[in-house]
Amino acid sequence: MELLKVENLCKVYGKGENEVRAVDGVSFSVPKGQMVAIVGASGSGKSTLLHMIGAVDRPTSGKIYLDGQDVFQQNNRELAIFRRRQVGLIYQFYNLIPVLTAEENITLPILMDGRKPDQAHLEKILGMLGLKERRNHLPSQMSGGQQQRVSIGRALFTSPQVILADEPTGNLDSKNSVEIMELLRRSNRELKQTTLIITHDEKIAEQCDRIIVLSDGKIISDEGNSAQEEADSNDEI
Amino acid sequence: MTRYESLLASRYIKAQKRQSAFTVISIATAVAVITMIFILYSVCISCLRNTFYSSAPYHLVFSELTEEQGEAMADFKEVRSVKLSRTKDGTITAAVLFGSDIGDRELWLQKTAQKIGASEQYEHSKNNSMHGAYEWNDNLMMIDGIGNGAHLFKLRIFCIFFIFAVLVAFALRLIIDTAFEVSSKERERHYGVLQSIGATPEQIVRIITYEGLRLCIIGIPLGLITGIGLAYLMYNVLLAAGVSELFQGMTSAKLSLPFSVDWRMLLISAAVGILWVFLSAYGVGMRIIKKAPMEAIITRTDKVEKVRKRTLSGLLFGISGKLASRNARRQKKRFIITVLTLTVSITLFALFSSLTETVEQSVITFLDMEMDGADFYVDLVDDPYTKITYEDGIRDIKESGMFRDIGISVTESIKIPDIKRSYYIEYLNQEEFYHRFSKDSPISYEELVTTGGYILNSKSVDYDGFVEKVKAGKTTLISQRRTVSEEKLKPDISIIEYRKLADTKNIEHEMTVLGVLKPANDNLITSAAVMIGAIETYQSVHNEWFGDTVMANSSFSYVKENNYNTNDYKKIIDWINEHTDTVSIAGDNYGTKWIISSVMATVRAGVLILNVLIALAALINLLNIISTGIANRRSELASLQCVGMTDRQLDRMAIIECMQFTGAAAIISAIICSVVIFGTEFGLPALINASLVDESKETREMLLDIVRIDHITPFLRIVLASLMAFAAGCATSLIMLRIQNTESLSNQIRGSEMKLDAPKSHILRNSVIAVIGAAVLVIAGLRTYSVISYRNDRKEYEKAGYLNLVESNGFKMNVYSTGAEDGKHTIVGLAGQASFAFPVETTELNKMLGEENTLVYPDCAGCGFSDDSFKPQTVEQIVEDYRTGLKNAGFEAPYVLMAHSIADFYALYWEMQYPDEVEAIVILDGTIPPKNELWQTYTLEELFPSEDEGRAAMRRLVVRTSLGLNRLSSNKSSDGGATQGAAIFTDEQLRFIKLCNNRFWTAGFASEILLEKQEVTNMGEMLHPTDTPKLYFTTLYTCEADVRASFERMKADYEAEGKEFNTDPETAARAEWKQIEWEIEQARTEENDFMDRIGNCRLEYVAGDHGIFYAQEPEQIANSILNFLAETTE
Repeated sequence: MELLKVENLCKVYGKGENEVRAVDGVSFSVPKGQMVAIVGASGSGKSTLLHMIGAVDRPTSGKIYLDGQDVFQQNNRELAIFRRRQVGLIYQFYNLIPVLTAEENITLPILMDGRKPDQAHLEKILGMLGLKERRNHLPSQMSGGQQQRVSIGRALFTSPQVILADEPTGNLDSKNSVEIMELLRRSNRELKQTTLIITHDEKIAEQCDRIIVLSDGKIISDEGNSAQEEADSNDEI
Repeated sequence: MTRYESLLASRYIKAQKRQSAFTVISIATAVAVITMIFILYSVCISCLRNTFYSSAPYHLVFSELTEEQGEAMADFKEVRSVKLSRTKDGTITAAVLFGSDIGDRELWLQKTAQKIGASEQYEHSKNNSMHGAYEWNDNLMMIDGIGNGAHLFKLRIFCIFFIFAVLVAFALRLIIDTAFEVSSKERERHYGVLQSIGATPEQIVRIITYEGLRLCIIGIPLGLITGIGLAYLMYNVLLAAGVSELFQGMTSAKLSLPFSVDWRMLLISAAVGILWVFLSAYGVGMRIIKKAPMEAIITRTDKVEKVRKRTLSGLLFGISGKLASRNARRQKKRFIITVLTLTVSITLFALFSSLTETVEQSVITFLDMEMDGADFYVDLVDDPYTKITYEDGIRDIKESGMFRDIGISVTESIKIPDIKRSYYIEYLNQEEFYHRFSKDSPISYEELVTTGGYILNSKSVDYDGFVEKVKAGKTTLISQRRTVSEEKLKPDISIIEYRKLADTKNIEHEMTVLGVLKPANDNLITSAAVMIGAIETYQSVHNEWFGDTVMANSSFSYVKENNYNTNDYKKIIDWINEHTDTVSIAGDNYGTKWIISSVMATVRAGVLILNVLIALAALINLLNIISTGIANRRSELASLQCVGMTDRQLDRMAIIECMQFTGAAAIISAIICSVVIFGTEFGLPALINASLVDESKETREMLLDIVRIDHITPFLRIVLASLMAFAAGCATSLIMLRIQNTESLSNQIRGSEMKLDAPKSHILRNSVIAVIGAAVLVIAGLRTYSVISYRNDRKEYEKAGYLNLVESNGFKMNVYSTGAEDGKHTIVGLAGQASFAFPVETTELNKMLGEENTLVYPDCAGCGFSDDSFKPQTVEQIVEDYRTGLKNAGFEAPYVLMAHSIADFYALYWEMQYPDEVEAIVILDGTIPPKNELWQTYTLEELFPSEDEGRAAMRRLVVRTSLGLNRLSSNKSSDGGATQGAAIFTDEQLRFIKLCNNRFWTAGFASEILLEKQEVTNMGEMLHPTDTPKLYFTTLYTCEADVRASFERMKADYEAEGKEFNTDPETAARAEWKQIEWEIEQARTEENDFMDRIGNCRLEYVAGDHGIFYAQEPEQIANSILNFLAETTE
């Protein structure tokens, strides 16, 4: 079942001779529960593509459907709600709100809804992320790894339809990177979270179900990861 | 609004203390300035009103009424108050103040006159504004909004002021805008992140707006308080600058032009402040959400601009310049805001001052023109009875040594043979002749003198008719010679009577007419006389031809040119008052110019202060922008240094950026100034010429002069202001750079996140607490100072033996006693209003009375050294307090009550209520209550224009005293004047009198003043004759010699204090007696009536001054009292 469908997406900057086609007619679809790696050289349009899927950037042309709904048919307000509930974005540079504690950063989307966060769910996420002792600390009082885990927690907390991660381990050491990927895979397996990850790292790409390769704004390869599929089916058995 | 929004907003405020503080200061500054302007506006309006009121305290004066008609005026619902007075011819004049609008005022008066039966007075005055029975006070009516058209006037004034306020508000709003721009720029990334997580645009806007409004909680009250302080400062400075001259001193000026804070102004300012903040925050929020979230996060823009490879600054200054230019382009909005604020303040600074200078100069020039150049116009007295002629007046003027350009004009009348009507002929001296006909007239003054001839005045209204019948060369005209024999002459004879009594002889003369001349100045009102001759001619023919003199006047100017100050003016006015027998003032242009120059000085000071404030606001803004700009680029600047840029190069870059701001501002200001100057040089004159075609050339030129602005000065000012701004900006930049570089470069690069101040520090809260605490301490300190000073004074009083505190009704009363232990009579001395040292002043009197009698001096609550009380000080209360105090001090009835001034009420009331306790009453020049309140003015009304103001003023004075502020400022010597009694009191007495007056404005005393009107009215109604023997001492003058004696006493007081007494007692007495003689008669009638109203009272005259006559003539008074007591009670 298709959760996400991208149709002929384009993003163009500038005009005339200064024109830059960051994303140039990209189309693909992702079924629910799949974990996709998006790889490519620098400047290939990966981040731009991801941001458009996360509705934080508007395409120049083309459409994106999430769960059957045309994402960019919505007005700005609806888009904001969409971002809040349907999508979880994880950035390379954490992008936490420096004046809020870890706990507050994680529950921020729920707070924006005006609802009280489910304490049990919060405990579970904090436990899963190993942040229980850091819950009342400000970002400036935490290490890079801890901050990234907070931003993952923020993305997971609302149980969105799709998680989009832009180089989530780019800023971390190898130990932290492994742990982070573990977290993402767990949420993908256990919570059936559809996940798209942009990465440079081959090792990470190999852990995903499917690898899409971008170059100069176009998809040049889109393959299932047979090795991974095998490993998964082995796990299931 | 959800919790998270307010959570974020408050977190941001707490986390960025420095930025929040700057925003709060910006809000406070803007609100302070607008508050100051609004408050000064309301103070100006009320001062204007006070000025109008004090020169004429009524809206309408209606005279020639009967007593019933006058009293009936008070019954109309629009009338707030009526004051009646009697005129010499027996009619009543009513001075009316309205409490509500009367619409069409003529209609109202006509109907009212009908109702009270005074229609005739109304009708005959309707078209006769000079000598009518009624007169409106236009100024006061306009400012009080009474009558049609008054509202329009007030509205017009408010509109002018409002436009000015809006302009200033615009300039100030930029400050707040900048503060918000600056703080939100730092957080744009966060807002982007929030949006990407799912914050709706409205939520973002709400967060920012909420933050702004929360900062208002501190910013606005701070601004209001600062604004009040600024307004008060301005008020004092403006008074000192010039206006206080007009009132002969600051104290008097402050009393007439009080400073008050209208709460409505505060409300308006607060509302404006909140509106500003809301608009700024909202605007910033809206701008932020326009960007797609990603743009904010990655700071990338979809817009691709061409980057200019070469920039002007780059060419001039190398890489530093290039960086500076690129930076400016990057932050266009901030650049524009900075330049705008600078431009506004620089332009205002340049133009304003030039404009006020030109206006001041032109106004003076205009006055010179309008008023014909002479400072004073006087009528010269010519009285056949006293044999004073115009020549005496001229002699006096010349001998004074104070005047120059003395012109003389004598008017007579002549007839043409066989024509019934007469014509005016005027004789001028040389000054006057050349002043009117200019030195280029073909017929010179010398010719007139040598030939004894005349010229014809072609501007006279009678000229056309006259010239037909008169030929040039020799012509025959008739003069009427009038003489009156000595016996028939009376003093103050009117012209009509004189003519009736005189023997008139018509004599024919041959007079030489030399030609026709036109007065040089079109505006001169000289067109009455049709023939002009030289005064020498008059002197030779006067007796023969004319006998009497119709009219003589003179114009002259003060010997110092263009110098208008109070001392000189006072000298002149004194001289005029001393010479009323020969000279009578008809026009005083010097006074007007003096007033105007004082007002101008004030305006100048005001403009200067305004300039300073605007400059300060712009400076704060500039410094904020610059310092935050550098702080925001911390990592960038560190990167530059990592690449290899030296400190000096960085400095140069910062300096060039400043140059760009100030340069741009200077250029724009220069352009604006040029446009304005161009406009006033060409556009405005064309406009003026086109729209004022009918006005005379002189008027138009004068108007043009007013709006003409000097070409050079504004530009010099622009340069000066720009240089100062540049210096300030550079200093800030360099300091900020130094501060930032105390950290290592790598730290600077890393910390591109906004700096968070250490949490849990409550700087803001602590500073607020500190300020409040300081205020409380100051107030407590002042109060303690006041109480301790008072106690010290009281200790001294006690040491001298004057203190004896006993319980009275709820307070401790000082009951001083002296004289015989168990004397024949117990004489109770009751002090008058504001007489706090009665027992000290009566030392001599007490010695004599005290040989056989006991003297007791109780002080009522809040007076002398009795404690203060908050009970209303009615006559009843005071009398009860006295009774209780006396009993507790051990002095039993019966008493002889010796009451001074208003205390006679207490004595009379006491006696009417408790006749057994009072065996006799001695009244020392008591106050006579009129039969109703329409006939008297009360202390409060005399000092303040309205009861509310009076009440507010009382409150202020009492608070001032309770905080000891009166003691702190009384070190300044009083504005001129000597202490009354300085010549007769001993040094020790004077010391104690001063001691007793140190407190003055207590709650008890203020209550007395506030209740005065009500109590006087009650007294008037309550009075009835009783048998108790009474003795009334009066100081009412009986003749001119009494007045003179009073001036002599005043002179002695001045000399005792080493001060100069500039008035000659004899001439002053003469002048004053002439003025008040009739009023004194009325007062005497009232006094005699009073005797009947209280019953069994004898009257005795004492030569002395009302306030202290019992100290001036103690022997006479003591003896009279002793004899009186012996006769009536023993």
